[in-house]
Amino acid sequence: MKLSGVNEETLWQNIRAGDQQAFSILYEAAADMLYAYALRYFPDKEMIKDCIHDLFADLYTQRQNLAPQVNIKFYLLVSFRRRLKAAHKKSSFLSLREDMTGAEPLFQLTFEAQDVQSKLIAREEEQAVLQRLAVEMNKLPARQKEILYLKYNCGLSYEEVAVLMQITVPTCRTLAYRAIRQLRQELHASPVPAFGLLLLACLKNF
Amino acid sequence: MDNGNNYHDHEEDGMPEASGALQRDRMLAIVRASGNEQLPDGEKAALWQKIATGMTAVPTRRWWPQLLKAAAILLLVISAGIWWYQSRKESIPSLVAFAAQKQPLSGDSALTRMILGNNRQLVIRNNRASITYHGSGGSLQIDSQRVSQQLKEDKPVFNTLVVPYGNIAVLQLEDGTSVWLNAGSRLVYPAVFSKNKREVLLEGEAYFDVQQEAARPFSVYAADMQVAVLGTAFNISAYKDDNSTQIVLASGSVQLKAFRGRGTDKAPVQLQPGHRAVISAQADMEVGAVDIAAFTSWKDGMIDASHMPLSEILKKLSRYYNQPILTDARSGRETFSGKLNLKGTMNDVLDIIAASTSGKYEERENKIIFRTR
Repeated sequence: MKLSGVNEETLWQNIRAGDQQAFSILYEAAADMLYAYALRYFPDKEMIKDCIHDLFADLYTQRQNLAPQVNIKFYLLVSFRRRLKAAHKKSSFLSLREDMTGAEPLFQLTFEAQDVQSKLIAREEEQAVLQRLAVEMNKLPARQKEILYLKYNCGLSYEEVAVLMQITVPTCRTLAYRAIRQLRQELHASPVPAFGLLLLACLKNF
Repeated sequence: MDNGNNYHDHEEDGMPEASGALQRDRMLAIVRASGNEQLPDGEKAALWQKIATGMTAVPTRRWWPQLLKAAAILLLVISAGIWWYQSRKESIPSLVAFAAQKQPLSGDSALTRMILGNNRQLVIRNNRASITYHGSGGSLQIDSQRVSQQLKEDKPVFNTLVVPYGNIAVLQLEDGTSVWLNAGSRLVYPAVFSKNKREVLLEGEAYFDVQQEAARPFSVYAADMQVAVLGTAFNISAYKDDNSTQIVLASGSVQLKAFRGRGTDKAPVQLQPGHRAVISAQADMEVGAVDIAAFTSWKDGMIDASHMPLSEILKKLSRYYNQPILTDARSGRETFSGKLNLKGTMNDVLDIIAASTSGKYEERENKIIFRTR
């Protein structure tokens, strides 16, 4: 979510004041992030758009009750995630299968190497390394992918990721650490010798 | 090399230096490059239009939401009062009241659970659990494990056995009555029955083999029905998602009476052995002779069907194996006769059905779809 050329504090004040222009700016900046984030939980595009609609509609009606100072992105994600879960629960309730619990939607993300923008990318072998790395990253458990995504793609802090995922900060760190360790082990066992060597070199000081 | 405590030193991003700066950069680059779907421009603009329209519409109707809220609250209070009065009037047994106030259970829903009186939850990993009460209800045996619980003198202590889809369980109650609980069922019962009656509550399906005790009549509450028993074996199917309750009597005699709902004014009905009563949601009752085995064979791990509609068989399989199975109306109306052994895998069973009907099945996104070829 990019809020270029806008002071976040001023924007939030205007949101609280009910200024439509401010809502429009916030929507422009946040819609794609929210859309991509929702796709991590379920693929139903219409349901996602409904959630985004309701998020902004409620933000507007509840504007007088909003906290005066927030991290806007974090605030949106927290309240959006709650909404996604509720929507998912409702839709699985209506579908044919009656669960005894409302199963939590699983975080789904496929890491892709081809869109990586990098100075190194021009080299063909670098592309192959990235491909392999992506394959290994895709073997990570959902929650670990979720942490990596929230932290490095959405740019949240560990504290924020922990609140969002309803886990403690140490758990959050441990999970992230474990993700890295698993990647290391997987790649270490990788049959491609050149790649193994490269990794060994990378991991020496661990 | 492998030092698990080290990572706090690099805690700013948790990516241990270990992966090497280059490798780390690659990973972060991949994370940033993934999961960045965008709303198509047209849809994005259209969605904003919708949001913006909602914003301008709000102030014009500021007064009536308040009024509506007040009216809703008033209505709620009144209906709660009526409900309370009604439920008092119908004198719901304490067992039924207890079961109703129990919230849907948390925890791993795939495992059988026993909930004792003090809300202690025991998770049973065996998907065909066997539970027996000993010594006047104070202790019970779950498979090979022995558990005891504190009982109260003045008040009954209710226990609950929850058997999720994909499991079944056999339970022997304190009086020696045996209950086979089918998949997706719950039985609520006192650890010790009182001196003058024995009452249990069932949701789902169970086969009862009741110990004869003339001085203490046995009753099962299922949906809105009370099934009163004198030493008898019978099957009850009362799943919340089925639109009827079925009672099949194997031997002895039972008396059926609605204890709440629309049927309360009707006279009790005595069921003959070999007969089945089907009670609809409108409390209409139909009684007729049936093949008992078809309704009770599940407790021995079988479906013994004679001209049973496929839709019904697939529903049973879906509960038994905890696996959604979809079918279209035409295939669902086909019938199947014969024995299906449920001790094998679901695919084995489906293969048999497919081979002997004109059906076929496929797996798609965790769902089985069964249709006519």
